[in-house]
Amino acid sequence: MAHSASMSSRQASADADSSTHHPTLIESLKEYARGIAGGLLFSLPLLYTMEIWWAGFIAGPWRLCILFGVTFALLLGYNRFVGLHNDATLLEIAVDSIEEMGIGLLLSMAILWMLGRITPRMPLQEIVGKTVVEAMNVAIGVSVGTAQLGGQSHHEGQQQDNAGSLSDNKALFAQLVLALCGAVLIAANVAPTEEIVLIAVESNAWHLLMMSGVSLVLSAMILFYSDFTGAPKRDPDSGFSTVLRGTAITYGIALLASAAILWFFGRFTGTAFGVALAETIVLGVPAVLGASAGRLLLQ
Amino acid sequence: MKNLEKNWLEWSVFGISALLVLGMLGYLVYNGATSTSSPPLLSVSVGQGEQHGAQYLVPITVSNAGSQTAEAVQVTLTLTGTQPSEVSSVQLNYVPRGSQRQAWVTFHSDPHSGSIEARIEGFAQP
Repeated sequence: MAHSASMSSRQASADADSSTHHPTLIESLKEYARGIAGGLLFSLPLLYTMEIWWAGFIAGPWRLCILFGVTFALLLGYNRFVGLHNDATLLEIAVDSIEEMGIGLLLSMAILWMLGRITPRMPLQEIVGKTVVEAMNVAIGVSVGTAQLGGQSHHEGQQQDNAGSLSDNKALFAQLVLALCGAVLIAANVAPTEEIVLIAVESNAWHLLMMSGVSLVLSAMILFYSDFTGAPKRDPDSGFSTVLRGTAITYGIALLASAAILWFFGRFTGTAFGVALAETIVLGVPAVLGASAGRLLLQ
Repeated sequence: MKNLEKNWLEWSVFGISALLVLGMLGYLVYNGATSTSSPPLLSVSVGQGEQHGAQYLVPITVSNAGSQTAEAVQVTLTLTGTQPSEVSSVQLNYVPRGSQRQAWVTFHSDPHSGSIEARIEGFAQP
């Protein structure tokens, strides 16, 4: 992602008018290559994690459907605000989202098969379950990879357009979607592991408070105080309230994402409220990292 | 619609993707609508034992016909009719819903000269 600035000038002329023409085969192949690279970069740890394989056959079909729906909504949101040019129609966004979902499914099926986690003799139920659970994170990775790992300059220009033409409400909504995508991408890597439950159960109130504090500090640091790539030039007079609000919203999104992911992996079933809250705060630390960085990097 | 211009490669990728997405989603919905919320229904079938060194290896297959996954499945096999009678057991990490898992147990005596009774002792809910 950091390369985009340096590579942009070289490809500027080639990409300047690509949006109005049929893309050439080479162009689309390159785009798929970026998508595959992104998908694997973000989700290979998950494909190598046994708790995820188990989740594939433990989660019931309705829970998998919900996962499908949520991922599709995230893809739609991401493609609406980032992946495509600003005047993309809903149909266009939907077509691209379905494509990314399909690539995610194919990719996770291929990797799971390579790793010997699914075999043709397994019942369809188990194959579908494992593939779907893995594919959702791969699909978001594909989407991010296609949009981010390329070096097009029109992308940067379009970002400005996006920011300029979106109303305040829409801009906030776009930020929320990006924060959610970032939180899911990062938190999903550790969410299904036993370690989250272990830390949650063994932490006392002070540890949990410390985790919340660290989450807030990390978020404020990334969003406002580190000149992170993509961070808006902050008006020095904008004051503490802006920082407080931005940080609080991001942490809220991170906790929401943590809770949703933990629920999906069945971590809340039969669990006392206090323990569930502790798990959410524990997972909130990586989630807030993803959410804060996502707001800046994924755009 | 002018933005929806794709070449044949992109259309075929989209076609395959749409088929895959609809197929998987359709299967999940069908699966959800037809499956009842029965607990794990486990059964054991015992295969033919074969001799390896001083031991006899007996393959077993545990099937789960229920709609929930069973964890930590404890299977015990009792070999009677031999001198002395023997008890062997094995634990399976997971037997997913609608799936089968294979395992082996060992006996000192020839299982062909007696009869084997297989039993699922218990399992956990994941």
